[in-house]
Amino acid sequence: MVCPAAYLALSDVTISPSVTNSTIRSRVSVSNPPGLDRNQTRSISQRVGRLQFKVFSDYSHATGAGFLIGGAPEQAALAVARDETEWPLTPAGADAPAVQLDGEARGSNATAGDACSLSMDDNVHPHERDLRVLMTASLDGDAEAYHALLKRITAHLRAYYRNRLAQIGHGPTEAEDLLQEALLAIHTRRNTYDRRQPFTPWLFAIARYKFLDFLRRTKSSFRDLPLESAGQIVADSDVDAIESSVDLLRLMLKISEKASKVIQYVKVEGMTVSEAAKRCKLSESAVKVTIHRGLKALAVQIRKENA
Amino acid sequence: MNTDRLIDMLRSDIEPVRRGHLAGTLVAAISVGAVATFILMLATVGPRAGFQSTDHLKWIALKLVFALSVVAAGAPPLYRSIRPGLENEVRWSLVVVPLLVAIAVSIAIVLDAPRALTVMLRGATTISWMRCLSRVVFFAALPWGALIYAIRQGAPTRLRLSGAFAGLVAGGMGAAAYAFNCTSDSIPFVAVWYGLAIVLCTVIGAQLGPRMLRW
Repeated sequence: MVCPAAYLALSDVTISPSVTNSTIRSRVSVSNPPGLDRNQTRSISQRVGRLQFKVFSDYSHATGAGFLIGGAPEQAALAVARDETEWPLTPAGADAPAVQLDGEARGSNATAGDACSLSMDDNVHPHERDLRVLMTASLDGDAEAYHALLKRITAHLRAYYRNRLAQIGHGPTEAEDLLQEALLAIHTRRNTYDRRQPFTPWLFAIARYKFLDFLRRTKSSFRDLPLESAGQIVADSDVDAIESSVDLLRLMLKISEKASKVIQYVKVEGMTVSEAAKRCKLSESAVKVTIHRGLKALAVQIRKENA
Repeated sequence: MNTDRLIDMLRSDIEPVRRGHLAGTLVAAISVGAVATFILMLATVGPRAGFQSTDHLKWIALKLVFALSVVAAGAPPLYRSIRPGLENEVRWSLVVVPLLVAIAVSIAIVLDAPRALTVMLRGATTISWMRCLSRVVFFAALPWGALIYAIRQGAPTRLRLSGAFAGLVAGGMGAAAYAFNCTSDSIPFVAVWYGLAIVLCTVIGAQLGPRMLRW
């Protein structure tokens, strides 16, 4: 099992604009940290060097240089960025580059499921930790956690898509369309998330897939992308949401009258599932299934619309 | 429409997700595909004449071991390839082990008796090799369909890769079905023609993947 072990800030990373494959091979230097003898440092570097770096998805583009590596918890290392990033790798300032070894190896007894989240405690970026806790709760059926999760994901993905689409000459409206498509994809495919797996790579694998799919559909290409844009990124996730061009409710009507009615009752008029069930003369589970199928069909429909 | 509205909508559809749900789907697809293609084999070409004899059963078992080991080696990477975030940890190395073992054994046999090679590769009749290729691919079709269904329940982000692994696993199952019908009893024959048929299925799968798996 690969636990999310550490975030390393990489100083010497070349990010190629090719995104067909989500791994990059890159030379990595870990500065010699104070308080550690050379051997330890070297072992970290070697370990790092052997790994294929999974791009901490395109987060890293948007926010600086945070990369996630997988590894055994006992070999976890936390390094601080040389350059200050918008995405702080440690809560404290990044004045003194340092590497800390988590000798305790708290996660070494990690078993299936929740145990892995223990091993994250010290090493993993707070965002990853929070999102993962929320996701786990969501999968267990916690609607509040799910709402919070979607809110946070939305902020990240909005920045991601605006950024990406701006690079190839599309506006924020398309970004919003794509964002909604991605949210629906995340929703309908959330059974593909394994609770033992780090969350952000999962999230961004889907986000990136949707982006590449958009490129294919619209025949855009990354060849149009100027090289230097990989470096200069300003994430404006705080900009208010704008209306997307797609009217989801209109699409919904296209799919199934029943589904749109049920969703209308539950969401717009704020009925509980059982009330809606009574109104539509359906069983509660039928209402749930109807909503579920409606959303799945919607995911297909919205993708066509965005093409 | 406002994205916040969408989020509200999604929140209303929060059913707990069972652990191992996706793995279950994949296993079910493999089982259904296996049963379906076995029945198809019985309905079309049927098992070889006199398959009850110990000698024939021995060969069927040997061919099954080869074919099913391909399935067993291909299924885990297929599963990983439909989970976002794990799709880059898919490795080919284990998958080729059954093929390599079969080829190694063949070479050992051929070194022992070099003259027998052409006879062994020829199989029972002159068209055995063609029959092997076409039938394995034919019997792979139903498992392929079942696997595509299962993959679409997942979230493949590298479509060609997922397609290729689906083709490989389906090819292994097609080979397993054909094993009951095949009358060419030699290890080099199995290594070369079964192996080639499975590779063919893999290539076809890789070609079809990007078209059939988009979501």
